[in-house]
Amino acid sequence: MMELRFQDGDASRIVAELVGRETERCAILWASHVALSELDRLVVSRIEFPTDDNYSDRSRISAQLKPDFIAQIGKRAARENLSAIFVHSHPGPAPPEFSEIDDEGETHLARFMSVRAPHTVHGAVVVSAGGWCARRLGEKIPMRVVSVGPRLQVLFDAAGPLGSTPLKFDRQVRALGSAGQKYLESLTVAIVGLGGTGSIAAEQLAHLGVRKFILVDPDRIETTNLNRVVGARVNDVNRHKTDVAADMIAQITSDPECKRVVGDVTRTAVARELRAADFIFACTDSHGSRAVIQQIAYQYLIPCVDMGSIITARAGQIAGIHGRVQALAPGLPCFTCCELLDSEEVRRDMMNAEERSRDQYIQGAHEPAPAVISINGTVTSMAMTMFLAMMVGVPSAARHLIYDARPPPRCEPFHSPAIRIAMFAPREAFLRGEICSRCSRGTTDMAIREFSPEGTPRAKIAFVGEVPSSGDLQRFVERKITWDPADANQPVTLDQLRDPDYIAKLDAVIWTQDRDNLKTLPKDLLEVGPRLLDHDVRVYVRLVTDDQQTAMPRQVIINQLRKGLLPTANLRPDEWQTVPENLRERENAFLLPCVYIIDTSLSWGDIAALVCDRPAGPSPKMDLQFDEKAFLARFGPEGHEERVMLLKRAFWNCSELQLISIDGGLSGAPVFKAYASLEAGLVQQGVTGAYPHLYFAKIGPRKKIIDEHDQYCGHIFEYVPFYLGPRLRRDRCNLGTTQGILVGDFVEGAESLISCARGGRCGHAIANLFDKTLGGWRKQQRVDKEFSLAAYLDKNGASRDKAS
Amino acid sequence: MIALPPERTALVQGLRADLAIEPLKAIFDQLGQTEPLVAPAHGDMHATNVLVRHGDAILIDFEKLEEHYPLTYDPASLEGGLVVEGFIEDLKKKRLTPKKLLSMISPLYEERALKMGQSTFCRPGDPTEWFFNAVNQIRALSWSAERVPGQYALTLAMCLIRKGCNSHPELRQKEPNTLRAIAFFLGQKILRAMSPTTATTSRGRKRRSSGGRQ
Repeated sequence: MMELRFQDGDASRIVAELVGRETERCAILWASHVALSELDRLVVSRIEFPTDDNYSDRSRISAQLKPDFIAQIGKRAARENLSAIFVHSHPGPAPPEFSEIDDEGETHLARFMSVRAPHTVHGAVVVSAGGWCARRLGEKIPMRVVSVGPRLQVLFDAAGPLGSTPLKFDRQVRALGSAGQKYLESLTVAIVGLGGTGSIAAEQLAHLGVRKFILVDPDRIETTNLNRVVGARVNDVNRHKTDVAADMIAQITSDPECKRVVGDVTRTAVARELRAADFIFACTDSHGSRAVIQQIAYQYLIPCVDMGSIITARAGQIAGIHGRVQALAPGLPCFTCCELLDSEEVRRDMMNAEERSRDQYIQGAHEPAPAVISINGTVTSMAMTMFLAMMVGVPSAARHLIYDARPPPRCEPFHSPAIRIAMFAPREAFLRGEICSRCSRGTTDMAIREFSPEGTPRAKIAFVGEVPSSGDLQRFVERKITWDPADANQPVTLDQLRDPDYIAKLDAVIWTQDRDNLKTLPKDLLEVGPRLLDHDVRVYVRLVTDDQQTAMPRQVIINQLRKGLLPTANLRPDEWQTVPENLRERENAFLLPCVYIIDTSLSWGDIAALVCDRPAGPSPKMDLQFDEKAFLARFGPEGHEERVMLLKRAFWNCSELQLISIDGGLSGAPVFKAYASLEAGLVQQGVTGAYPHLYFAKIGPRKKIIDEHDQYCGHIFEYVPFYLGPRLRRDRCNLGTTQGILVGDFVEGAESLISCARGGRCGHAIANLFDKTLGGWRKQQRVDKEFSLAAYLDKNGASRDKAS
Repeated sequence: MIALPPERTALVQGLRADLAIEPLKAIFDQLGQTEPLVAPAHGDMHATNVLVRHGDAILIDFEKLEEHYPLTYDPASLEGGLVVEGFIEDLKKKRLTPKKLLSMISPLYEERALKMGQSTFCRPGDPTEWFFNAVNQIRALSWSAERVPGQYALTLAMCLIRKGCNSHPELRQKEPNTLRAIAFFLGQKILRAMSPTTATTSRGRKRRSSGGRQ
């Protein structure tokens, strides 16, 4: 069989130049010949339109090229080992056919070409307003014409959709049409990688009716694959994955043709096998293989869908579940455009900004990544629909999908389901260079950010002291970070930083020490720093080096921060040792907001990355209404402003707050019952106004709040059943300079054990307390041989005494 | 070292209990040299931190959570909490006098009553009936927390003494000191009864019997 392939735009160019003109015209397509056992494929790389001088005769019904032009074509085909395809047009709207005159002319032409360039095959195409017709030059062997782009179009296929489709595809034919179904059955599909996603792809393709496969994988089934490789059973361990997949396909579809290639696609011999494919599924997890597949996809004009899923976990907790499905075809961006060919970039590309800020864990290169079949299934199904859209015209425009299984951590709107698909969006991008014409960083931005209800991102920074050069400022612009006023590169003044409305919109302040006046920064920092942190503005301090390279510039800052009790990050180990025990938070990490000390060596680009990766939370709700007087009375005046700001940040999307003090007041961290009215837009307002949501809010010293938050994360979420403990609203918990706030769902409709017991109704509750509520902990019991009972009970006696 | 707040000393003396902590501490240290069963513990399980909804027990306030702590601690704190918090209204509204209360609940703190598997009952219809029910149930579910018999009683004694000594200023307005004094007395009573030394035991018995008769 013969096939001619060209890029999406080529077909329309040829039609525009040749069809509907006053006279017949010609075009020469230059193509590479891909000789395979069952297929001769001509892949067009260039189009040439003869000038008027090249025609010896041209009329409405004929066109003839001059012999010397033909001679040049023959010479060039021989020299460059290219196939020449002679295209000419026919008038009228009828589907074109080769005429007798064509047959005759071609006989001479074919003889000439076979003498001049005998090592390749050549073709002839006739095109009219009615369509295309193609064959091998001088012979009656028809040639399929395929245009490859975001959608693949078969412009001519003499074999056509003949015969009926089997009954088993009845439901599918109703969706794809009989021609679509037949076309699917005629395709040769390559699957590179037959692991978690590839095996699912193989299964789905077999069900779709694909019969011809090229299965590529170097590995054998291992026991650890059995959780996700579809079709693999216990006794398949140690068999080649390609064999297992082929067996599965054979059970689904009758007489399939599976070419099994046991090998790594990065080896040339293996990669060459992919040339016979009509479509490639890239189901690998390495960057090398992606690079190779990408090259084949664009060079041989074989459309491809690449897919990947990633589960990021930190300290045993899932931090993110993401999938990416991307089509590679002429007109679509390649991996290089999308900057996906760097492992770190791939991982980060799949995360939203908040997760990036929290994720400081870099997965080791050879560490097995977590993998779960359901995520693979989701991603593969998305890829399969994309395949159908590209090959048989299923109406789906997306060619680059990002799947986020978790709602963005800062956006838990009250009506949202716990798990949702955050955003599917096609990405616009362009070809650059030989493969892609243009790569644009802006276009790789995900739409997900615009749609996530995280509130208005602040993304505004201020410089104090030094402002970077315009080139360095560009590093911030690239990351969509702006400053005010955007056109003037002026540092901000202290007065601006004293303005609450100004700093409420700030993301970060980047403060550069004054070499000539080392004392200014510490003094100013102490004045406005606490308020900045209370507003969740991230403060970065750039240290300078003095002339003698002393530790002085650093020392003055550290001392002052210590004096003002400002939480500080990026301390040296010796400095960390001097932090008082009751203020130590994280030794090798830090909690935000804090003052981040930057070494002089850090470039502005790195600083921009730091700022971008650690965005501030939503702007505080400056006009939140609540009874400030009662709040003041409960706590006293000291630290009042900070506590108010914590409330305004925690309830940033609320308009009104009613606080009712509920605790006995013994612990030093008072607890409130908080009725919060959400702002319009988040909840429907009925005739009685917005229904308030009930939370508990606990406000206390920063360290105490951090410790309690850690307890929740470490021991409560995992072990206490979700309905038997308070559920923290982690998006609302936040920290200020010296204090913090915990917000959770309030336990409604409950009474205290005392009143329950006094009413004689506590039987169930006590049994449930020990069996269910504390069951998770009790199951962890062990005998302690190191410390005695007395040692334990005495250990924390003094501190424990206060509230017991 | 903890100590009784001054405003409670007279009350404790009125119950004919010792004021000194050191001897109690000595007994405690002597008896407490056993291996405990440990697990994560709430650490502050007084009765107002346990909420009840449709028979489910919901825990709040995990501020004092401990990763490894004796398994007997949470139930003992809960029982101790019921002593100091359960009768506030009864005393305020004079439905019970402190003496009456003590005589009614002290059978629960006899040496015999604190042995594994025991249940102690009161007369039906007594105003402390709910307390007996709750305490019996807490203990029934807590014997399994003991690695060595007597650990629950010892933990309970320590919780009661601590509660008796708690001098947080806000407590003064909220609850009568009497209940804290009673807790201190009961804790002491348990310790003396458990004490292996004859000298202290005889004194402890004397106290206990005198306490029982009041």
